[in-house]
Amino acid sequence: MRQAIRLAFAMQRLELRLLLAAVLLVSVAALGIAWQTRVLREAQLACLESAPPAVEGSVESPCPGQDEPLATLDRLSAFAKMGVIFTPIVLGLFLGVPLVAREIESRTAPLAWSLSRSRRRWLLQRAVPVFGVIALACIAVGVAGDVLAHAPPWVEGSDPGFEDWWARGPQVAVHGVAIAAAGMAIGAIVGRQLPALLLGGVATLALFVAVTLVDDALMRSAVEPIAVGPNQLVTGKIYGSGFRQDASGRLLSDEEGYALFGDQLDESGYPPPGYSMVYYLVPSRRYGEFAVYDAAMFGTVAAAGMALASWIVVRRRP
Amino acid sequence: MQRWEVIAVVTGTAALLGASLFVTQQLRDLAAAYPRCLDPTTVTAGCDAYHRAVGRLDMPASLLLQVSWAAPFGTGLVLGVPLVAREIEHRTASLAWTLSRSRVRWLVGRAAFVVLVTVALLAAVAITSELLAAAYAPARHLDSDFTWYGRRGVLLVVRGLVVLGLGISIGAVVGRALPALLVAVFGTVLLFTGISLAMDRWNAAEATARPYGQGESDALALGARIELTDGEVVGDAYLASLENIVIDADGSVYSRFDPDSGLPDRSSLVGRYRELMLPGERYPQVVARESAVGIGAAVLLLLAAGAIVRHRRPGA
Repeated sequence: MRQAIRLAFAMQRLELRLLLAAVLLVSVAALGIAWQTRVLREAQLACLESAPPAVEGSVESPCPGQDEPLATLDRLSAFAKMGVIFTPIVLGLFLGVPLVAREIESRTAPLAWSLSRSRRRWLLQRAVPVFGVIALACIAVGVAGDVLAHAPPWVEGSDPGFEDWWARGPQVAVHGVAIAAAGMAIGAIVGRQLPALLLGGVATLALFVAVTLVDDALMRSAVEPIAVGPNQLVTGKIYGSGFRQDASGRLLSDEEGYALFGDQLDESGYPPPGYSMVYYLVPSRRYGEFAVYDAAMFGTVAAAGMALASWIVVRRRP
Repeated sequence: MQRWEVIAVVTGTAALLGASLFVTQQLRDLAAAYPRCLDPTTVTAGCDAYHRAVGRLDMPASLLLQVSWAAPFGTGLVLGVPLVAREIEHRTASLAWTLSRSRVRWLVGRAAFVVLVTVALLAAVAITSELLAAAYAPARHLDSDFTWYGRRGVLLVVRGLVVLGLGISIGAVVGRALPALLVAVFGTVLLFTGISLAMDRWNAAEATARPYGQGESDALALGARIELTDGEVVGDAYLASLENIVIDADGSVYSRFDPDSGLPDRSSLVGRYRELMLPGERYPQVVARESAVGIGAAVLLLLAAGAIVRHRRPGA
């Protein structure tokens, strides 16, 4: 078994080194940006407490020493989040696609398959170590992404809710394994690495579009009307707004509310006494539930990809 | 040898061209139906329907111009990287190089085909992206306008050739297609970041500092400067060294508040905020300059690929 693992890594040594270096870079960058954001935010809060009041009609900043670096960190964090989103895609495609395709393309499959007790066992020995590396690397960037998502000043004392949906958490690892499994199956079908990589890229795009549509449909079906008080903050995935008659609980649309209240709405758009503003949203506390749905969808793709790859390897001509 | 890659690139390009021409035609039909509504700087009665219809095409048009920007990178990498790498990886390089009169001659024969395919496909993308941009902003004169710079026109072809040269060179060094593709992606990011920074510096040296908020929309924005009260011009990073910053509507920069009035302390005037811009009429010159730099880089990279193929061992 140890020999099989060593062989699996030796076959993809260069890709593994490059990709793991990139994973390390993304993780360290995300954690570093999160840490510096917190440090600068502390300094900015201290500065704002001692600053004079804002001047009307001018673009002013009482704390330029912290504003500019915080804005820079915010821009950099966007790059780090992109890195977290792309990590499972790049790892999955570049490590999953060549698992079978390279053996077929370089015509070493007949020898490798005849030397192993069974083709399925050969595939298992080649795939498990690589999938393990993908899962571990993606968990690392997922955790770093989660820390980064909680770092911005606007998340203080709050919840990031559904922000950075695909750029944090353990579901990043499920994405990586699913893309690798799908890539492995495509590589086994096509039997050539680069064309399989291109097809895998298209399939990954289609997969993300499909899951986005399903996620959106699930969230829309889970929307609930949440009444909010004046200046009260709500977090969650917001799909619309309206008003509620408190006594009867009757819900009014925005248009009905504007027609009914007219000038009685205050500056922030809040209705007169007896009515409340309502947001139709999926509250942040349900983030975990939808993350599980998302992981289940990608997990299904992973299982299907592995089963398909195994079936093809057992049946195809080498 | 590259049938799959050529089919993939041609299919992708055809899809991009089809979508671009479709959106272009829709925008042109709208412009023909509402000729009075094309100037976005004026409010004309009866133009609501036109603005709503154009608004619906905003997203696809922007997305297609973004894909046009990415097309040279995808085409260059997919066609360039496996050209030599696959021969080495499959161990057919030794036979192919022995059968040819010289290795460089072999490379020229192979590279000429992909260069032709790249130029033909990207020229088509360059033309359709210009047509789309012209239909998207009918009131602008895009031949003297930096809007969507690098997402339309001849720069797409030049960038594709640079990436192709880089891909062939890296493929020849690494000798395996997939790892070479990874390295080439990193290399492309580094190379184009370098070219972009160098071009920005070159352009900034010729740019003019415009008063705050008075730059034209067709100009190339190259950052900000502060013109200090003693006439010295410094970068906007200077602002971070100030204790407080107040920038008035006319672009005057102050470093202190008056604690009594809460207004800027007029005696603390630091200087004037200036925006560094290159006017739209310089667009052809800047494009020609970047094209010359790109063609030079592509030629150097292809020469490097020739040198690598000539000297390397044919095994991976």
